[in-house]
This record gives sequence, C-alpha cells and structure tokens, in this order.
Amino acid sequence: MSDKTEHTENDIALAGEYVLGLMSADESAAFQARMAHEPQLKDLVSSWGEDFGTLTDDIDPVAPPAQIKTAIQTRLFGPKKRGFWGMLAALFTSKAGSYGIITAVTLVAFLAFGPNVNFTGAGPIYTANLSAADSSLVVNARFDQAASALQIERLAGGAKPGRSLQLWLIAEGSSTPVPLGLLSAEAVATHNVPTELHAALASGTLAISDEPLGGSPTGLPTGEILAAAAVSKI
Amino acid sequence: MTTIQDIENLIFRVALGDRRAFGALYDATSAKLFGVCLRILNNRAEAEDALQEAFVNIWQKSDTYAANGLSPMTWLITLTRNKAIDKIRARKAPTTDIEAAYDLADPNPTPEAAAIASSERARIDGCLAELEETLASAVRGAYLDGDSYQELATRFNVPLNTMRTWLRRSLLKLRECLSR
Repeated sequence: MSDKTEHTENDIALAGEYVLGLMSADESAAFQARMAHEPQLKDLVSSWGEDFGTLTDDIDPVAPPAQIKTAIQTRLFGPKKRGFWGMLAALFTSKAGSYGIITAVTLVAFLAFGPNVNFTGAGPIYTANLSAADSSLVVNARFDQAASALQIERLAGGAKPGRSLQLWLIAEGSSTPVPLGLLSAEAVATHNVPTELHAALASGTLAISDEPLGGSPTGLPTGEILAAAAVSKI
Repeated sequence: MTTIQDIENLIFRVALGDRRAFGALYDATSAKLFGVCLRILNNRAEAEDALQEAFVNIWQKSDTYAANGLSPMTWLITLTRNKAIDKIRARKAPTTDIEAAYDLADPNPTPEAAAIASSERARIDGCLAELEETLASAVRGAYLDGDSYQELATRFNVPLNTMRTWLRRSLLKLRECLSR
C-alpha cells in the first residue's frame, strides 16, 4: 500500500472518522465535498470501509421473517397484483419511470458508428475495463472527450451465435441504462458519442449485456449482464 | 452457493432496474445483513425496520455501487450498518445518560474469539490488539455501536478533545498496521 507516501496523516484520520461516523454533520458534508474531486480520499474511505467491514465477519446470519421481503417489495414497487392502469401509473412513478423519456432521447441521440475517429489527445481521456468474472469477456473502453470518440477494444470473448452484445451506460445518480450500441464483430471499433452524453459517460458505469441478435427489443437490458465497470479518468 | 461475483452481478442488474435480481439479491444476503442489524441494534423490531430501510436504500443507490470501490458484500454491509446506526442515534437523541454510559468494564471480543474468524477479520483484530485496549474498544464501539465522540469521552472519562486526539492517533496506527 502506498498510503504513507500519498496520503497525509490528517486525511487518513479524517477518512477513518468519516467511515466510523464520528464527524459532525458539517464536517461530514465538508469531507464529502472534498471527496467529490479528490479521488485519493475516496480510496482512503474505501480502504477503511473494507477494513472496518471485516468487524462484521463473525456476525452470524439470521433469517429475517418472511414478510419483510414482501414489505420491502411493496414499499418499492407497490402491491404485486395490478391491472393495466396500475402498471401504467407505476411506469411513471417508479424507478423505471424515466425509461420512456430516456429511451426517446437515446433514439434521437443514438450513437453513430464511425470507424475512423481520430483520438485528439487534446482533452481528458476516460477508461473502463469491463471483464466477466471468468474472463470469458474482456473489453477495454476508452473515451476521448475532445474527439467525442469511444473506442471499444474486445480483448477476449464475443457474442454467442445468434446473439448480440450490447453496451449500456448508467449515468451517476441514475438508475436508467442508456443503450450505447452493439459491440462490433471487429476487435476494435470506435463509436461517436453525442455531446449530450459526454458528462454522463465521463462519470458513469458501462455494462455489457447478452441480447437477442440486433440488440434488446425493449430499450432496456433483457439478458444477462456479463460485465460492468465504472468509468474513470486517466 | 452464491459467490461474491454472483452478488456483484446481482447489484449491477439491480442498478439496471431488474426487480427479479433485487429479489435474488435479497435472498442471498438478507440473513447476513439482518444479523448485522441485530448485532448493532440488539432489538428485533428495530432490526427489521433497519433491514427494510437498508434494502430500499440498496435499490435506490445500486447505480452508485460501481463507483464506490467497495467489494459487494462490504458495500451492502456498509449501507445496512449505516441504517442501523441511524436508528441507534435516533434512539439515543437528544441526550445521553452519563452515569449509564460510563462503564469501563465494557466487554471486548476476546482474542480467542477472533482466532476463529476469517483471516481478514484476524487482520483487523491483530491490528486492534496493537492499540491500547480502551482505544481498540473505542474503535469497535464507534463502528458496531455507533458511539459518538461525546459518548466515547464519557465512557472513558476523558475530555472530548482528548478522546478525539486519542482516536485519531489510533486510526493512524491502525492504518499503518493494516498497510504492512
């Protein structure tokens, strides 16, 4: 670990206090504000989170009463049985509510494939390494914001016969996946990213799902999520 | 057997709004998380409430998981622990009874108990053991009981600022030990 050289003692202690919940509301808010643009603080917080988290290792599991699950699901999704109008109402109030709107936006903003986008090197570069658990699919994504170019490099794996691999973007703070396009049969392909998606891509999460040939018919992932990774700035 | 990778995949699917994945994630992890709620709150009704709130939070925040840098179980445990601690804080507010809180004979998990836990657990226990016993107990108290600086200062009968200085120094020692 490089904690000692890269982090000040004050920040190490602050991050520990933050994770333990020892800060006042003001201190906590100030620390969170710093964390937003000091990635090394985030690293300290996750180190403490992992370490203190192990204090729960010897806590035995206890099955909660069965009605808790139903209560949670009702709270989040409403009562289970519901007619057409109920479903329609839920569509506009639940987590899935913005799907319709977002899908409409993405249909307009859908990525144009352009094989010859040049990387400018002028602006920030973002990357994400998407890897399936068993490494059966490994994809590197590289986003050159100045060139609006998202380069997708498939290092291992590919679509199953008769299926497609589809790339999704989940913007930070959003629960709605935005389809970014299908993975090319070529090992390396470059997509042009519309300006309105730049910010979301720079701070979002990329995911790849297994879909019917030609992509998800619904505008949302329908198959297994094979790999996902957060996008980070180089 | 659900692996860590399975749990991570479920969280990703939940982030995409997959309710079935949410159900599966609940089935795979709720017993551990309920255990954590019970340990922190030591009260069944409150633990059930905390578990509900935790899973509502898990659904709502699942899209921030990947950016968090925590392993999937730690992320779930952290969200749940924070909900349980919120309940403890609400219960304790607005004042703390000084007489009742002052108890130096507060039991610590013994080194023997730690030996049977996982190696990760053994690592933090080993490092906590390098601290003065009261300070190790303070760190545990803050994490597992939601003790505030004021409560810790009261329990160890020292001024608040002294408690803060001690604990911050302990955190540095702890980090140094954990990074070895």
